Amino acid sequence: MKTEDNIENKDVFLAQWIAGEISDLELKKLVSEEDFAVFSEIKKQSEFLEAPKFEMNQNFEAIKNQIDTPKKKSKVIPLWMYAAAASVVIMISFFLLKTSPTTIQTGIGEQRLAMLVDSSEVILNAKSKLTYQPSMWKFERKLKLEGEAYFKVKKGSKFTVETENGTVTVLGTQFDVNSLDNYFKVVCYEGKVSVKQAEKETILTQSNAYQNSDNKIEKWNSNLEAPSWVNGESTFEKTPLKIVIEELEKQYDINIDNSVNSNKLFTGTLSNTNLELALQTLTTALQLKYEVSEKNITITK
Amino acid sequence: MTKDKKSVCKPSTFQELYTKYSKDVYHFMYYKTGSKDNAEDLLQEAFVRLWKNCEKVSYEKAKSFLFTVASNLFLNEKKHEKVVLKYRESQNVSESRDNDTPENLLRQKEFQQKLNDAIASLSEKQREVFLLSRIDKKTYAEIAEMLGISVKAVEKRMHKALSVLREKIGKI
Repeated sequence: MKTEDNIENKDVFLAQWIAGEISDLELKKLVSEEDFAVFSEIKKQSEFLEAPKFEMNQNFEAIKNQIDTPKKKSKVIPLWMYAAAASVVIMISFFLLKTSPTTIQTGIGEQRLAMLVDSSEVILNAKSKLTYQPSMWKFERKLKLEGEAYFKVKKGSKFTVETENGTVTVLGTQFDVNSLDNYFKVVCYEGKVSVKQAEKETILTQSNAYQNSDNKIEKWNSNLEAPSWVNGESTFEKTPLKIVIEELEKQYDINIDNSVNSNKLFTGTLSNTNLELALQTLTTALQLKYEVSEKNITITK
Repeated sequence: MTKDKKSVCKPSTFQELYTKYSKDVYHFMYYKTGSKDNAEDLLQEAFVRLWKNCEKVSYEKAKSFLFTVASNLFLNEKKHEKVVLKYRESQNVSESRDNDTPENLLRQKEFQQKLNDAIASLSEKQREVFLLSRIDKKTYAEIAEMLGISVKAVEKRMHKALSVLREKIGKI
């Protein structure tokens, strides 16, 4: 390289040239003719270089499998099962003593995706809590829920969701459970779901919705394919105003004061990302007014 | 409420970040390790850690978190393999036809082989800069951000990479 001692950019000019910041002509002044020919060929041929193909979806599936799946525990189980096949009962009691339940919890405005041991998926809506025993999963697919969650269950044995309000049982399907104080709603998006409340069983099939609000039971057909809160909105169908307000308080860090003693039912979709839009939609639909002062919102007639 | 919207803990945001950066992280790791399997493992681990730390990492910091974690994970890896790259086949069609003699094609293949060997012989730091620039078409500023170094340092590595390649290739 001829004159490289005299120039300022002597340790970067090749980088500048290949990025098009200095011209061929300028480079020719800095390197020999033979060097220039080789550099040009490197530039040209490296244009055709390729990295190995990246399997984007496959890798995402692998990541999802690693998230919230207690790997070590589930790997240990099969080994023990072979070793102690004859003493299953002892094993179960051992697990009960040995392992603690897994809890997944969300705060205000938060959602979480969880993979269960058998790769069934749960998306937990804001301010909700899910508890289950990973080590018992092989024997009994059962979990406890407070709040709302959307389930995509892998086909297999009975899958049970226990709540304060009642129990939901399925075999392999997609459904949403919302369990609040004196409010219980289940929507079945695929397959068949059994809802049991106070010894009374109701069977839901695809797109059936079930709601019990203060002991008033209603059933209807939902035309949604999946709960909309998964996509940053909350869709309500015939939902009492106080439940809609409770839902807003879970999505946004606010207090809503409701001075309207209304039995009105709300059907519509509210944004989980734009509070003002959500309040406007709700109050316009129910012909109400609202006032905002910092984190406190008052709803009036 | 924009803060809530961009929480990395939100599955839709997490997936958005994955769609945006997974390929870059994968290539970055492949240039370092030379192994598809290792690159996939490192990529997956980086995203699993992002998820586990989703409450601490803001949306804006997620990108540099991913690259930093992946780099650190790579430092713990012991086995490195030779980087093998392919050339797109379509080049001959788009190239000018008068160059298309069998002789020229052969010469081109030979050069590509030499260039591949030369790339494999680069130091890992030179190689990642060279390939991120040439294959992924990243600017020096973007590479600097990924590696957490200055633009000047990236340019120096690129310059060095080109002089080493030229030296290894020898006469043509």
